[in-house]
Amino acid sequence: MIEAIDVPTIYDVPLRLEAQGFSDLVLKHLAIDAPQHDLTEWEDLVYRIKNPTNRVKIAICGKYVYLKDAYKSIIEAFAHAGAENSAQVDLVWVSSEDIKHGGADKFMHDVDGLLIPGGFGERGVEGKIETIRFVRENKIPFLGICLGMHCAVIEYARNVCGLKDAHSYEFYRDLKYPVIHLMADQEQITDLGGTMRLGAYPADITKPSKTYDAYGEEKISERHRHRYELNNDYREMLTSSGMKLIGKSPDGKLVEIIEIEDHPWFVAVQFHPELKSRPVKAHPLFRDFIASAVEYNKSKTSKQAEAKPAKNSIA
Amino acid sequence: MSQETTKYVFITGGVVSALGKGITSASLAMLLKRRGLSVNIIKLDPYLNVDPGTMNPFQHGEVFVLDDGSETDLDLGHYERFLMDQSMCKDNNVTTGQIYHKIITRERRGDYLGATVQVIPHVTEEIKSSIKRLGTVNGHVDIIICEIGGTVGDIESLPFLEAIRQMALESGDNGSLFIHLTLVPYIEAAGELKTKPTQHSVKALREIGIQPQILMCRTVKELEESIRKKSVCSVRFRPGM
Repeated sequence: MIEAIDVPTIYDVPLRLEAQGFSDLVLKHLAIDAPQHDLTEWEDLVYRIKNPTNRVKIAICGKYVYLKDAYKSIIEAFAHAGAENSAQVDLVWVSSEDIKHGGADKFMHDVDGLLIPGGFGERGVEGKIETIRFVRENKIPFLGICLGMHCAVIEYARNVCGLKDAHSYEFYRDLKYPVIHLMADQEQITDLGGTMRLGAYPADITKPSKTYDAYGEEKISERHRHRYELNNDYREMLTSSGMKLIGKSPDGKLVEIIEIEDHPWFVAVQFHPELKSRPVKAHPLFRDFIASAVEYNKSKTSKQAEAKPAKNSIA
Repeated sequence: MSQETTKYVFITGGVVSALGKGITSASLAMLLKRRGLSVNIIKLDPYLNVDPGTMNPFQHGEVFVLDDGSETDLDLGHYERFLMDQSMCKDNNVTTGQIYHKIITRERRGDYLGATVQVIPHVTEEIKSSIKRLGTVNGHVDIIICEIGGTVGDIESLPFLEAIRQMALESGDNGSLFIHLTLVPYIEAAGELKTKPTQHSVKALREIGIQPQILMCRTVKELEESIRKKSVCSVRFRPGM
């Protein structure tokens, strides 16, 4: 009989079980002889998760914020990225509908980064676009995933390129500026099950870019789950206004990664990096996103520290 | 180091769902792999959907996408994270929907040659071969960890439990192991941890012919010796096991 007591990090579970001789017990039942293991790497990970030296606050703005299991891999990717940056990552869950009613600054003024995860459906999209405008203008680190990239493109088209009615074909059919549209090979599909662009596909990255700095290589493979893509008719308009199309499918037809100029860390991707993040091997984009959030937090704190003596001298 | 035959660890859950079976299974896979054994892991989901791809994340949680494009249960995410460099594929997540889909396709094709197609043996055999397949697709595997979704006592999971009961018999002495994960709730008013739900859930498992060899009790407080003894007696373990 083994006791499975509640623990603060799931990565502590195997260590707690092993402290009670779990694998020995299993192997005894199966009559298997095996050498002992070296769990140092894992113990280090748990130590780093439990003893952070930095602390950042990241907002996640999405539709299903009330059920954390809907964002399991994203939460874990933050745990891995936090451990590699010795940072405690406090996640603030913001319902995109609340943003619509309360405004972005109410929820976003004290965060060190914003993540917009993947999702489906129109509900809450306007709130997401509003939070992206806020972090873009205030130079707060941003990572957009799937729908998060689509929202970033819509926001840029509307507020930088001046196309007020820009939107995604996913939500409205009769659009003046469909900056996001259905992929050509999705047009004939009627079944909903298993018909999206699914699984691992390669992408090529151009440098210099934040993305290249993160991966350290020009050829990557990431997991996808989508039907819609950046509309190539708008590539020129977006790039001439300062959006950079950093990652593309090897045939150049599909935009996989965007960044914007004149921002400390603004990266949005069509794929799902959270699915490939591992403990001890955080996903490069999550790792660098948290690193830039730590930077942002430190610069904010030092600005506040500079501001204080000035205040005192007036007093 | 490598074993000649593939052995099986079956992990079931009792009392309530969301006890952390996925993390327990992933933890065991990680520990065994780090002891030099080749390990694979499978999640059996009792629902009738072919995959969770079209299910509402609000009810079911995240859909975890694999390299091969399969849309799978979020537990597969735990498996990949705990096993670090071992990628999962479509064979690592099997649902009742997939099993029935295969059987009905075969039946329409006429493969059963006039036989009546039944839960036992046709469905159970298909479940067994889905589990066994993992021991052969990528070369030999020492241990297959098999996590049964849902809670013991559900109608949906019965064919899976019958299939693993048969597999345990067929795999002989020391060929398999049943781990049952339950909840030992703390009752605030009495200031006590309670073992009754565990006793009942083990009883339900034994009624269908499965005797768990390891009981794993999820709890908020450390278990006292008296609690351990009480649960252990109800399961008919040898003391000290």
